[in-house]
Amino acid sequence: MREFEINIEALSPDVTLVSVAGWLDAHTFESMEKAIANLFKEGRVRLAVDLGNVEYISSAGAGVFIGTLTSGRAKGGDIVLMNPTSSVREVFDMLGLSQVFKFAYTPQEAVALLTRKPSGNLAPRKTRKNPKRAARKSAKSKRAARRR
Amino acid sequence: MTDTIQIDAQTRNLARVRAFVRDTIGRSGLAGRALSRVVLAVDEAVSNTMIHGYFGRGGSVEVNVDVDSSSVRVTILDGGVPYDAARGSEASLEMDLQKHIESGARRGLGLFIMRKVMDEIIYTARSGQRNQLTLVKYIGEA
Repeated sequence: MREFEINIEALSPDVTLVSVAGWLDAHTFESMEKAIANLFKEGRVRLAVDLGNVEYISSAGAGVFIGTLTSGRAKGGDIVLMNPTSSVREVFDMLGLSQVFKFAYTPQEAVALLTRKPSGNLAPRKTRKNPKRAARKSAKSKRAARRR
Repeated sequence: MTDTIQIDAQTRNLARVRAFVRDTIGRSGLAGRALSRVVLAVDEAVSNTMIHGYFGRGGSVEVNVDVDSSSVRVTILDGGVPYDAARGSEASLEMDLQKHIESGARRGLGLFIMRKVMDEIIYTARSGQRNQLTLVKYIGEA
C-alpha cells in the first residue's frame, strides 16, 4: 500500500485534476492541504480530485475536503470529487458528506460540473433604445401636445 | 488472549497500528465493512491521542486488542494530556452534523466516528496513571 502520492495536471483551461493515491490519514493530510493551498495561490480554484486510488481515508482526510470546499467557493471556485473508493464512500456517508459534495465519474463530467454557469431565474430583458424610433416618438408627442 | 503493539506517538506510525488491528481483529470473524469500520474507529482514537494528548511531540502509545466470541475490545493507553470533554466543540451524535461541518468546524469528527462505530467507549484518566481508552464492539452488530 502506497503511503501517499499526489499528481496534478490541467484537465481543461479552467479545471485542475488532482489525483490522489494511498492513504489520507492524520499523517498525510497536511501534504494534501499544502498541495491544495498552493493551487489556490496560483489561482487554480476549480479542482477535480480523483480519489480512485485512495485506499484509506479518516476524518483528517475528509476534513481537508471540507476546508477546500469552503475556501474554494469563497474564491469563486469549487471542488468535485471523482471516483470515490468504497473506503471514501464509507467515511463520507458516515459524516453526511455525500450530500455536501458533488461527485463525478469521468473527466468530462467533472469539467462540466465545475464550469457550468449557475442556473436561476432569467433576468428581465433589457430593451435597447432605438435612437431613431425614440426621436420619432418624441416628435409625435410634441405635435400632439401642440394640438391640445 | 491479548495482542499488544507499542509505538512512538508519531502519526507516521498510524499505518502500523491499522495493520496490527486489522490483522488481530480479522481472526475474530469480523470481516469486510464491519472490520474496516472498527479499524477506522481505532485509527481515529489513536490519532487523537497522538495529536491532542502528545501534541505531535511523541511519547508512548500502547494498543491492546482482546478478542472473544462475542466482542472485540481495543484498549489504548497513553501518558499524554488527559482528554477533557468540556474543552472545545465536538460533533456529537445528537447535534446537526451538517451545521457542524458548514460552520467550518473540522474538529470532533473523529470522536463522532468512534461513537457511531463502537458499541461502548470507556475513558479513564487518573493522576499518576496512564490514560486509558477502551473501545468495545460486539460481534454480530455492524
